[in-house]
Amino acid sequence: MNAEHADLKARFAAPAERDLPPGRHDLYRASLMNHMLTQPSASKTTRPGGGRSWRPPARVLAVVAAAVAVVAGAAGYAITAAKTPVARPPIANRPAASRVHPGQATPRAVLAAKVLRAAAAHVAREDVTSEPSPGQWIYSKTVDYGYPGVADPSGKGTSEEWITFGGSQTAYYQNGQIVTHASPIPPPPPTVKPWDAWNTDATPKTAYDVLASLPTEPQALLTVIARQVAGQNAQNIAAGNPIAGVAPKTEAQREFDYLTLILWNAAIVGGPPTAEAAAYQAMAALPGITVQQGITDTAGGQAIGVSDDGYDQLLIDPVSYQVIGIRQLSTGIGPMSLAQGLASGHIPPSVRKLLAGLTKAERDRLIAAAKKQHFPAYPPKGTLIQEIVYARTAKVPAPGDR
Amino acid sequence: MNVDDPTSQLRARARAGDADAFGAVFDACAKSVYNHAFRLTGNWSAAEEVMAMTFLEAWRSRERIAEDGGSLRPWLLGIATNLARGQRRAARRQRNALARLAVAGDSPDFADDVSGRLDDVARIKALHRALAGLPRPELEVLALCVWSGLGYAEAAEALGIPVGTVRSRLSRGRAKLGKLTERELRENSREPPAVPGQLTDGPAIAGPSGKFDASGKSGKEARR
Repeated sequence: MNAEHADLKARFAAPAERDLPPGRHDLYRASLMNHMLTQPSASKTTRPGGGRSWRPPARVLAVVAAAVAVVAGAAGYAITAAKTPVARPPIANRPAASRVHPGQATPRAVLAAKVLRAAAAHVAREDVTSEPSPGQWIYSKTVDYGYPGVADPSGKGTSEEWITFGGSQTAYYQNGQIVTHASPIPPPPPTVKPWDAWNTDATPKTAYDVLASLPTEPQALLTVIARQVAGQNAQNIAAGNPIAGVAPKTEAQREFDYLTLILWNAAIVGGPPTAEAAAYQAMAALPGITVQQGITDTAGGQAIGVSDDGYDQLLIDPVSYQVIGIRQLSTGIGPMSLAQGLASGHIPPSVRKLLAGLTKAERDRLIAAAKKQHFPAYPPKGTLIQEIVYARTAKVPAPGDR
Repeated sequence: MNVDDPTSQLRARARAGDADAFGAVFDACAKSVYNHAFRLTGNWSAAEEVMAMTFLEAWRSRERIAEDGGSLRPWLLGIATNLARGQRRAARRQRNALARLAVAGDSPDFADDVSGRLDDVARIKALHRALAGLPRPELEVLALCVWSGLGYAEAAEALGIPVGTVRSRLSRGRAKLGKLTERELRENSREPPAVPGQLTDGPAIAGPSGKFDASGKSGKEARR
C-alpha cells in the first residue's frame, strides 16, 4: 500500500479484530449449513437464475438468533419484548386477558370491530388503480420520533426517501446530493409466487402482491395468515416482556401482527382497496383488538391506533382509513441493561457462566462499578416510545422529484 | 490481509453450490465479515446480523461468483457493505415493533472480552463522528481498504466499481479529512450527555473516565 493508505491507517486506526462471541461461530455455521442443505443445489436446479432460495432473510435470521439465545445464552441479556428471550419467568405465562393496557386505549372489542369495519367499507369503495411497475419511483416524507435514550434514532426527525416500487433501488439526499443505492437482494423472477417473494424481501411490491393474493373472506384470509405465522419462530415474534408482566402473544395477536407488517410495508403506495378492506375485516374478527381514537401523530395529523395489545399500534388515517404509520407505547418497564442486572444481582445462568470466565478481580470490578451507576427511570406506561408516520408519499418520475 | 485465506481454491465449488465448500468459506471469512460489519455499523449485535445475512445472501447469489479470481473475501465484504448500508434504512422501513424481526439492538455480548467490546464501540463511534463529513461511498472504501486491508482491485471487486474510482474515493476521503488529528479524534470521542431514561452499561464495564486515553480506551458508552 502506498503512503496515502498508510497515513489513513495510522490516523484512523480501527479497533483490532475480534472473534465472534464464544460458541457463536459454530451456531451460525450450523445454521448456514442447515439452510444450504434444505435448499436446492445450484447444479440441480433448472430454474433460470436458479438455485435461489426464497426464504426470508429476516426469518432465517430470527431462527439463528433464537438458536444463539437458547444454546449460547449470551445474545441478549436485555429482557425486552423486542429481543429473543433468554429466560422467561412464570409471570410471562399469564393469559393475555390479564395483561395491562395503557389508560387511553379502548379495549372494547365492539368499538374496535366497528371502526375496522367502517375502515373496510370505506377503502372498499376506493377506485382500483393499476399496480405500479417495479421500476416506479416513490417519494416518501416520514416524520419519526424516538424517546431519547430509549429508541434510536431519538427525538423527532423528518426524512425523505425514494424507493422503487420493486425495492431494487433506494435513494436519499446526502450533503445536498442524491445518493442512489441498489438492493443487494435480487428481484424475484416473475414466476415466483407472492408469498415466496414477500418472504424473501419486504418491499412495497412484495407486500402489495401478497395483499392482492389474499382471500377476501375474513376467516379464509386469517387461515392463510395463520399458515404463514406458523412457519415463523414464535419466540421471536412474541417474546413478551416478563418484567412488565406482558405475556407472550397469542395466536390471534401474532396473526394481527403479521397482517400489520404486510399492511405497513404496502402503505407507501397503499394496498389494493379490496385487499385492504379484507384485511381490516379480518382484524375486526380477531379477539382482543383495541382502537384508540383521536391520536395526534408525530406529523401533527390525526390518527386512529389499532392494536393487539395496546402498546404497539398501527396508525390509520381517520378520514381515508389508509395506513399511515406505526408506533409503540411504553409498557412502563423497559429492558434491563447489563449493568442494571449486575447491580441488582439479577444475573441469568448464561451470564453467570460467562462471568465465571473472568478473574475475581475483573468480576468484582464490573459489579462494583454497576452498583455505583445511576439507572434512570423508564418512561411511564403509555408514554410514546417510537413512532414513524408518512407525512407525504407520491409516485414520481425519478429520485429527487417530489 | 488474511494470508491464510483458502477461499481462492473454493471458488468453483462454492459457485457450484457445494455446501461443504461454503462452510469452509464461512470458517475462513466469518470473522473478517463480522469485524467489517462492526466497523460500518458501530454495533456488535448489528454486525452479527449483517454477518449472518451476508453468508445467506452469498449462498443465494452464489452463481454470481466469477469463475476466475482470487479470494472470495472481497466479494463477501462487498455483500456485507451493502447489507450494512441498507441495514438501518431497511430496518426503519420494516420497523415494526410488532414483528420484531428487523431491528438490531445494542444488547451486550457478555463474554470475557465484554469490556474490550464496549471500548471498541466507543472507539468506532468516535471514528464515525470524526469521519462524519465523509460521504458514505468514501467511508466504505476507507473501511475496505484501510480497516479490512483490501487492495484497490479487491475493494473495486467488492463494491462493483472501477479501480480508479476506489483510488479517487480514497484520495478524496484523505483530502477531506485533511488536518484532522488524533487529538481532534480524541476530542470527538466525548459522548453526548446521557438523557433521562437512557440505560447505559459503560461505566460498569470500562471505568469512570468517559474519555479516550492515549490507547484509545473509552470510559463510557451510551447504549441506545
